[in-house]
Amino acid sequence: MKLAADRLLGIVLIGLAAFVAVQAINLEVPFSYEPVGPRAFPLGLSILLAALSLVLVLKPGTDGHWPHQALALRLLLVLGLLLAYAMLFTRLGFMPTSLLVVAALARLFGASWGKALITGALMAVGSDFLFTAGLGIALPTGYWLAAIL
Amino acid sequence: MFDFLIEGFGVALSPLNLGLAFLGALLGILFGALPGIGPINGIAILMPLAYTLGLPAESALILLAGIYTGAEYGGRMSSILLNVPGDAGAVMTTLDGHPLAKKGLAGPALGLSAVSSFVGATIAIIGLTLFAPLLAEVAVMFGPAEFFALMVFAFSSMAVMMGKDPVKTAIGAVLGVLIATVGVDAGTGVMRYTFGMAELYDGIDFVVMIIGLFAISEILLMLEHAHRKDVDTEMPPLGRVFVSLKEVLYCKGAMGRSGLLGFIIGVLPGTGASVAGAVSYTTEKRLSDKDGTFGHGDMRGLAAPEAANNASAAGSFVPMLTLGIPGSGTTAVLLGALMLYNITPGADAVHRAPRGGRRPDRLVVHR
Repeated sequence: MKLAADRLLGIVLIGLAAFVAVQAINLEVPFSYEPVGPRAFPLGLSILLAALSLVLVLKPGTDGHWPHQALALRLLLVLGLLLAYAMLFTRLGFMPTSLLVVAALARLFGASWGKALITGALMAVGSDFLFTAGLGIALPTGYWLAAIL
Repeated sequence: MFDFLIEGFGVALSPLNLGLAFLGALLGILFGALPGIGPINGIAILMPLAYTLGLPAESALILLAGIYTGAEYGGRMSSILLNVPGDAGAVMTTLDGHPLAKKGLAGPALGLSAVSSFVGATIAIIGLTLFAPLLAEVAVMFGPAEFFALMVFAFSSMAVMMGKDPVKTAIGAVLGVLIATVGVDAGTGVMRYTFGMAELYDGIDFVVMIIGLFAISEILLMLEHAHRKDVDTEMPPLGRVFVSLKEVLYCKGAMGRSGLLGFIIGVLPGTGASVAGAVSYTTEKRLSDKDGTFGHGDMRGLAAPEAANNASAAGSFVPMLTLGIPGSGTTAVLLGALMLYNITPGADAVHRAPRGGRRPDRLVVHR
């Protein structure tokens, strides 16, 4: 039997609720704030979350179908790309990272290599200009790039 | 009371603000017509721009509200012409809008959509003007207990009204509140869920959270639908350019009823344009579909959801401005915009705004 998406989500959320609850119990709270202090609110929420997730596990929705493999891979790739973008752009510099990530995203959406690279370059230069000139926000250029230039 | 209203009109009718309203509506129509960019993303994109341009709070609000209503209309173009709803609120518009376009009445359909949007929005704005101060009058007496009850009400009405799966909506609400507990607890100063990371001490910023959430989910949805081919790519002929007065009058009942209905639905927290459109369409169908023309290109079937979803857009400002509870996803982003300006919407803002001294009155609360 294939695991219904809702069931899996429910199980993951119960895990999250447990994590939240454990963290809340381990909070070091001065005695004067108890019994209803900073602990009580997240604890109550975690119980609520667990109860709702249990409903989801027991009564999953009907339309939880999985995307086929190729699509699932691309969805994961998008998430991976965005994560990599957030991690890398302070080190590699805004422009090069944007170029690479936007080009890769465009490829995932079915653009040809040429179009993807042009989109990436335009987005990188354009948004860099918008941020630095329009919004007055200094963006990281990337030390390695500065060394070459 | 009335002199504040007149003063408000004075502010709204200043050339700068009129220009911004026009610009906002124009950009909004563009954003709404483009697939993938709805009112939420449009406002999210322009919010920092409005802020750095140094626009005063009320002008920024005018610009962003213009984008909101403009995008509500722009989303209709693709639903009428191509049978592709530009956003969730436009789904009901396709039911009668696209058949009209197929009959060669695309132009009148677009015109009627604009007229009914205008009528709906006007009804709702009158409602907003009358209703918001009353609500604020009550809300200013709210204490912690009342606010807690209100939040519980908001979350449960969200769970019941939004989407077809109340359990998941409730889970979403709980997750949202949990995210809000990250950081220093305001009451006691205890660190919660910071894991020793200094970046988390201030909590997770509302604006960052909401933009990330909507933008990333939009990318994933677009990717999932990128290769679907059930779309009418053939552009129907436009036909006449504008709607005739007779057709507008034919729909006046539908517009009036749906505008009122849309406003009420918009005021309820958590229910936005999509619910308003659906409810008004089915109501109108029940009331006036005597010969079964709804769904085959009935003008009233187009006017009803159009009036309703614009009315709900304006209606969702009521809880946002008076209680600080966004009535829709877009007002949630607008709430973030107001917070950028150090305005925390709520009863306090509505009350102190016109009364807290003569000069930097309006919306500016504690800058």
